[in-house]
Amino acid sequence: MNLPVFLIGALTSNLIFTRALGMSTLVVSSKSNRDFIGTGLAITLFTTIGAFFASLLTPFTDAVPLLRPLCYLTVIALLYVAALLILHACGQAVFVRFRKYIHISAFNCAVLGAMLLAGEQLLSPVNALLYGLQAGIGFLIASFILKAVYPSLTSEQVPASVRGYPAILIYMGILAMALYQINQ
Amino acid sequence: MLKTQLTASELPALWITQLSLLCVAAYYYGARVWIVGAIAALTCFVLNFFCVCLRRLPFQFSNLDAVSTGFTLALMMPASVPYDILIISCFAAIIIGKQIFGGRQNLLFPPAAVGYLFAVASWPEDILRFPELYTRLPLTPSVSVPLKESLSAAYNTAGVLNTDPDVLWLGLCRGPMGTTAGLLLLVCCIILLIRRRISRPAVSGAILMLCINYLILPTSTAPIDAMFNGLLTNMSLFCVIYLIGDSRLAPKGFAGVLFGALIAAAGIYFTLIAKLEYGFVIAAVLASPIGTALRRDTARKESEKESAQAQQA
Amino acid sequence: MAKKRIKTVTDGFFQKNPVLISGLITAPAVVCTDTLENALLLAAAFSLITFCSVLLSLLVPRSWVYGIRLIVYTLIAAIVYVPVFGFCNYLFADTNADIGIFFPLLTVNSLIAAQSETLFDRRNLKLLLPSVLFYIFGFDAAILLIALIREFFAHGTIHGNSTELSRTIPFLASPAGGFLVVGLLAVGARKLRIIVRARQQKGGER
Repeated sequence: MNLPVFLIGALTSNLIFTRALGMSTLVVSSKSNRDFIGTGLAITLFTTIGAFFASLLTPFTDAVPLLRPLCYLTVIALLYVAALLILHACGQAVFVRFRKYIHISAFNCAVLGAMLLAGEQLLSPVNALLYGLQAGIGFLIASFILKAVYPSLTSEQVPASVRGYPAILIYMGILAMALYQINQ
Repeated sequence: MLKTQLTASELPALWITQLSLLCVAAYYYGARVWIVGAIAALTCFVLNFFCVCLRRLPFQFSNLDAVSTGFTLALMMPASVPYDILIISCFAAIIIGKQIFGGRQNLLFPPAAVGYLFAVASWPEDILRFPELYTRLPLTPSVSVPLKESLSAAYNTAGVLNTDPDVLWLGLCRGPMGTTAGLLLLVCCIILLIRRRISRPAVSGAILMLCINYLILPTSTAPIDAMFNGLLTNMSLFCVIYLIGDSRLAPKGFAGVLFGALIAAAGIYFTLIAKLEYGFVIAAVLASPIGTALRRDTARKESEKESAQAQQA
Repeated sequence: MAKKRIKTVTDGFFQKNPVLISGLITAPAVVCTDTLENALLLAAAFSLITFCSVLLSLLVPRSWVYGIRLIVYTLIAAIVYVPVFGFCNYLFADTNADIGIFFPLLTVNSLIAAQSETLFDRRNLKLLLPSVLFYIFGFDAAILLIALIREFFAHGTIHGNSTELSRTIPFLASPAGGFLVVGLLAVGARKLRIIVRARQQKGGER
C-alpha cells in the first residue's frame, strides 16, 4: 500500500466532498474540540469494520439487493452494541465519557454509505477494509479542516444569515470544487 | 494586528503590474484584452460595492481591492473568453469567494482563484483553450476563432518542452493572458517584493520550493532548464505573485514561508501527477484551512506579545 | 400556549427546516437534486420511509434502553424501505430518475435515527404526527426548490423541458455545485427567518 497515494485518495475521494455523506454529523461534531476527534475516530472504526463485513456479505446482498440496507444496518447494530459493551468493560467513567461518540457515529450516512459503496464495488475483504479506513480517515481530514476554520465561519464578521451552517456548506463547497477538478 | 486589507499605497502598485501584463496581452491579441480586463474589474467593483452597501458598511479605498481581483481573474482567462462567462466568474469570485464570509475582514480564499476554478469547472472548453498569438480577436461578446490547448498543457502531456527559451520569457505561446510573459512576471515580482506589496515570506517559500523541487526531480532536461520551465509554465509564477503572495491571506514570518512552500509543493504535485495546468490555483484554494489556522496562530502570538509588553510597561 | 404548540408543530416546515435551516439532512439534498425528476423521486422516497418508520417506531416501548430503541428504529426503516423501493420504482418507471445509494441511505436519516427522540414528542400523538408531516413537507419543499434552481441553471431545463437559457452553468449539477446552491439558499432562508422573527417580536412588543 502506497501511503501518500492512500492519503491523497482519502482527500480526493472523500465521502464528504464528493457525496456530502456525514455532513450533518461533521457540522455537529466540529463545535467542540474533543467531539470532532472522538467522532472522527469512532466513524473511522465503524466504516473500516463495516466495509469489511459488507464485502463478506456481498454474495448474499447481491442475491437479494432489497435486503442490503437491512443486512448492513444489522451489522452496524452489532458493531454498535459491541462498541458500547467494550466501553462498559473499560469502566463506568470511560463509558459515560465516550458513549456519546458511539451514539452519534454509528447510524449515520457516512458509515452506511461506506458500506454500500464497498458492497457496490465488489471489493475483496482486504480492499474493503482499506476502503473503509480511507473513508474514515477522509472524514477525519474533513473534521480537521472544518475545525481549523470553524472560528472564522462563526465569527461576528460573517453576516448573521450566513454564520454557521450556510457558511460551512459554502466553504466545503469551494473545497469540493477544487477537489472536483482533480477527479475530472 | 492581522493584515486584513490592502492599504491605499499597495493597490496602485498591484494595478500597475496587472495593467502592464494586460498591455503585453493586448499586443498579442488586440483590443479585446482591454475590454475583458475592464469588464472583470468593473463587475468585481460593482458587486463588491453592492455587498458593502447591503451590509451598511462605509466604502473605503481599500474596498477597491475588488478591482485587483478583477484584473487577476481576467489575466488567468484566455483572451477569447465570452463576456457572460467572465461576469459569472466575477460573481463567483466576489460573492461566493469573498463577501459571503464577511469580505476583506475575514478573507478565507483568494477570490480570483475561486472565480477561476468555478469557470474551469463549468466551461472547460472555453477556459482551457486559447487563440493563436497575434490573432486580432473581434470585440463581440463571444468569438469563433480556432482555439487550441496551451503550451503548458502540451508540456504536461509530453513531459518535454521543445521550444526556445525566448518563447517562455517573452510569452510567445498560447496560454492565459497574463501568465505567459515570464520576464515581465519576474520584473513584477521583484518590484512588488521590493516595495513589500506582496508577502515576502510566502513568495520566498514558494519560489524556494519550486526551485528545489525542479532542481532535484529527475527530468529529461538539465536541472536549470527544468527549473525555469517549471517556473514559467502552468501559471506557476503568476500564482506565486498574485495568489500565494496575497498579503491579506499569507501569514507573517516563518509561518508565511511554510505556507508558501506547502502551496508550491501541492501545486507541483497537481501539475506533475494530475497534469493540471492550473494546479497552483487549486493548491491556493485547498491551502485555505492551513493559511487560516497559521494566521490565527500568528495573530494570537502577536496579541500575547503585545499584552505582555503592555503589562511590563 | 396553543399558539406556542402550533408554532412548534409547524417549525419543521420553515423555522427549523431540515435542509436549509437546521442542516439535519444534507447529503441527499446536495447530491440528488440535480434534476426535478430525481428530486421528486427523493421526495417520494423520503416522505414514505420517514412517515411510516416514525409511525411504526411508536410501537417501541419507551422502557427499553436508548441504544436498543435506536437500533430498532433503523431496522424498522430498513424493513419499510423494501415496499417503498418497489412502490417508487413502479411510480417512476417511465422516468430517468435515479438516486443510487441515497435511496437506502434514507433509512438512517436524522428524523428516524439520531434526532428522532429530540425532535418529536412521542408521548403526544396529536402533536407528533403533524410535526413529522411538517418536517417532511419542509424537506420536500426545500429539495424541490433546490432541484428547480439547479436544473434550470445547470441544464437550462425545467423537468426536462427546455427553457432556451443562453448560458448554462453545468458545474451546478455536480455535488460541489450542490453544496454552493444549497448553501446560498440556506443563506436566503436564514435571512428570511431573521426578518420574520424580527417582525414577530415587533408585533409582540406592540
